[in-house]
Amino acid sequence: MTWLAFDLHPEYPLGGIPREQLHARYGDGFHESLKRSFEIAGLVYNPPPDVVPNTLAALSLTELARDRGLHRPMHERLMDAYWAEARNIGDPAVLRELGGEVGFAEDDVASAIRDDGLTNRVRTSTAQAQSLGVTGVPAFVLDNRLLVLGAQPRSVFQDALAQLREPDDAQST
Amino acid sequence: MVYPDDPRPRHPQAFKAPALEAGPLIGHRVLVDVLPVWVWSDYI
Repeated sequence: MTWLAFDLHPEYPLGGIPREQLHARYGDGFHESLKRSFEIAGLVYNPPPDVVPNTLAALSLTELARDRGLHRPMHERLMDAYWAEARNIGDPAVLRELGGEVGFAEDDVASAIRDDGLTNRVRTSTAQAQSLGVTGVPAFVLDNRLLVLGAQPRSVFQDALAQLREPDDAQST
Repeated sequence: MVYPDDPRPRHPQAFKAPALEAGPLIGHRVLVDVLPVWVWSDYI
């Protein structure tokens, strides 16, 4: 399984947006539903209460981690920091701290979040996904053939995988 | 190509979920381990 970058909200300012703005857009019910999903899965739902960050710097840092063979620990550390620990992962100081936990020097993190090559990689990856029909995250492409959009229940993936086992001519009908 | 040597998917077919049916998927873990799976994600 290969995780790829998708900048969901490139329009957010570098400082992020107030969380209340997101609640106004999607409604409180959406977040209550999300919280219940986390709880059912045994996960902690505790995103930052005040801000929804711009994630370009975090995604760029993850690309540096990919280059250094540290993608998985960096990716998972950022996920936990945002969703369970209410950390603002758009804040460079927070990224320096989290990167340090994974093994990066502070200078590496500072360079990564300003690195045009890494940010362009994030943007290109996002554009490529959009060209495949990806409009949100997570987005899964199974066996280069099936696109599953969103955090779907297990049964959807079961059905998708079952479809992949069918002959090619059956899939096109 | 974003990353060198990555055989990225080009034209996946959108999966349209049928009516959900409960039931075991025998060997799903093996399938996921064998099949290439690409996941685009953000942190928010």
